[in-house]
Parts: sequence; structure tokens; C-alpha cells
Amino acid sequence: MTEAWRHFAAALLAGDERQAYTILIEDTRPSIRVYKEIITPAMYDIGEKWLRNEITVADEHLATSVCDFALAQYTFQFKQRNRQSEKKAMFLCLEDEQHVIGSKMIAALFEENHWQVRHLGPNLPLSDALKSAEQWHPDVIGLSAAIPYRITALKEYIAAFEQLSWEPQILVGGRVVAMHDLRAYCGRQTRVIYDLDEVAAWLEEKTEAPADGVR
Amino acid sequence: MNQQAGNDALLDKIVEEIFNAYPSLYERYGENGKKRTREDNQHHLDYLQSAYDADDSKLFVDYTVWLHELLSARGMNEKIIIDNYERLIPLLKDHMDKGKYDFFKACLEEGIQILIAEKKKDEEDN
Repeated sequence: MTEAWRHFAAALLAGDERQAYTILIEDTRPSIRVYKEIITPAMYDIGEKWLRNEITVADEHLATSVCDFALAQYTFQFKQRNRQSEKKAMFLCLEDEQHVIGSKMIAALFEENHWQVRHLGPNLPLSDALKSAEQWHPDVIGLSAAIPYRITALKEYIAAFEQLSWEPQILVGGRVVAMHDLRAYCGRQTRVIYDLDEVAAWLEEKTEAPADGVR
Repeated sequence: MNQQAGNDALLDKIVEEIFNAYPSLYERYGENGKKRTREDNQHHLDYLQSAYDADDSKLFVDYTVWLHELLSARGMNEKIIIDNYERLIPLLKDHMDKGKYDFFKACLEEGIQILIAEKKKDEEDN
């Protein structure tokens, strides 16, 4: 049997939103495994196909857009029945950083654990991110970076968020964490996240009620 | 000279050198080719700067391996990157202090060595 992620990747490249969503919603695995075993390998495969010149940039953008839609539809089931807690988590991608799917999966895990979540999307300048944080006072700020040359900027974002008066927990993830040891730039409030399981374990420590996504 | 103006002048020089050395590039790709070469070199400099800030030359070496894979898949071999890196080294000298220049130069030389090794591997495979 072909692995589900291959079917999912094919649906993304075909621009078939209905099929992509159906693959996710009909899968019986817990949500975290859907993210890890279907969405993540499919998106990595699409990135590799672009690198090998087997698909165009336009194909890659279409696949990302369909994936974004399917993921949003899939996570909406948790949003609909969520009883929201007081806890708030804000996610964003650094300026010039366009890769949003990874942080959206992390955001979904928070939502399933009843957190109030705001995802501020790709390419957010630090000054705007800080303003938004000061207005909303999130308990957690999740930063995502996939492009290695943004490491310098990532240091600035971490340092700025660590100065916030209410001392939010800062989580840093994305492909760069596998490429360079970021821990030297992180104060005691900041944690480097290497995979979704680590987020789930962290959430479990913080959350008393079981997650909606675990079925 | 501020950083951006310095980078602009450096990018102008490297594009000019490459297109002077290979006039056929202009015949084939025109102004768009110059624009792309400038963007590519901006990327090289971004990654060099990032490696320097992080004090981790591996960031630049990994980038070189990735770039080689990207260009190979598009019909360009490692010679074009080696030539570009070799031309960058002397040009960088006037645009930064010695400490940073030494780091950038070491990264570019490490990148060139990796590409030469890739070239050998390709020749053995064929």
C-alpha cells in the first residue's frame, strides 16, 4: 500500500483541495501523527522535487496553498468544539520567511490543547511582531525560521522578545534549528523545539485536560 | 560607505567581472542574466554574513552543497560556482575588515574544495 503522505503530496501537486482534505480527515491516526507522518513528509518531498527541478516554483506554491487549506479544514474540527482557556499563544515567521506550514501545525497542537492561538503568518517584521505581542500579551511566542541566512535576524527576535515585561515563554523552531545550534542565543525563557513530539510533551506538562486531537 | 552601498558596489563589480569573462552569457541571457547573477551573489553574501555572525562556516558549506544540487538539476555544473567564488575572494578584501575577510575567504575556499570533491565524484560516476 502506498503511504498516505504520497497520496497527499500527489493531491497537493494536483491542486485538489477536496482530495487533500479527505486524506487527512479520513486518516485514523491521532492528529500529531497526521502532521508528522503525512503533512511533513509530503511537504519535504515537494521541496526536494523543486530542488531537483522536477516541479516549478508555481507548482510548489500551489502545493503549499492547498496544504494550508487542508490543514486549516482539518484543524477546524478542534476549533469548533474547543473550550478556550485563558492561555494564549502567538506564532509568527520572521521577516522574509515564507514557510508557514510547520508553525501552523504547532499552532494546531496548541489549539487542540485549548489554548487561544493567533498565527500572524509569514514575513513579519520584528517591530510589528513586538507591537502585536504588547497588545495581546501571549503566554507563549513561537518563532519559525526555515532559511539559514535568517539566523542573524532570529537572534534579534529572540533578544527582543526576551525583554518583554511579562516574560513570555519563547519557542523557536523550523528547519534552521537542525542546521545550527541556536541554544547559545537563548535565555532561560527560550526553548529550541526540534520536533512536534517535543511540543506535545511540553503542552502535556502545561495542560491538565486531554487534547481534542488525541483520539 | 554604509553596508548597503558597499554591497551594491561589490555586486556591481562581481557581475561585471563574470559577464566580461564570459561574453556569451550576455548573448544568451541578456539583462535578465545580469539580474539573476546579482541575486545569486547577494545570496552568497547573505549566507557568508550569516555564517560569520553565527561563527559557523558549516552554514556556508551546507548552502554550497544545496546550491550545487539546485544548479546541477538545471543543467549547470559546479564550475560556474567555483568560478564565481574564486572571483569573489579578491573583491571582498576592500569591502570589510581583515577579520571578517579572513572568515569569508576561508568559507569560500572550503566551498570550492567541496565543489571540487563533487566534481571528482561526478567524473568517477560517469
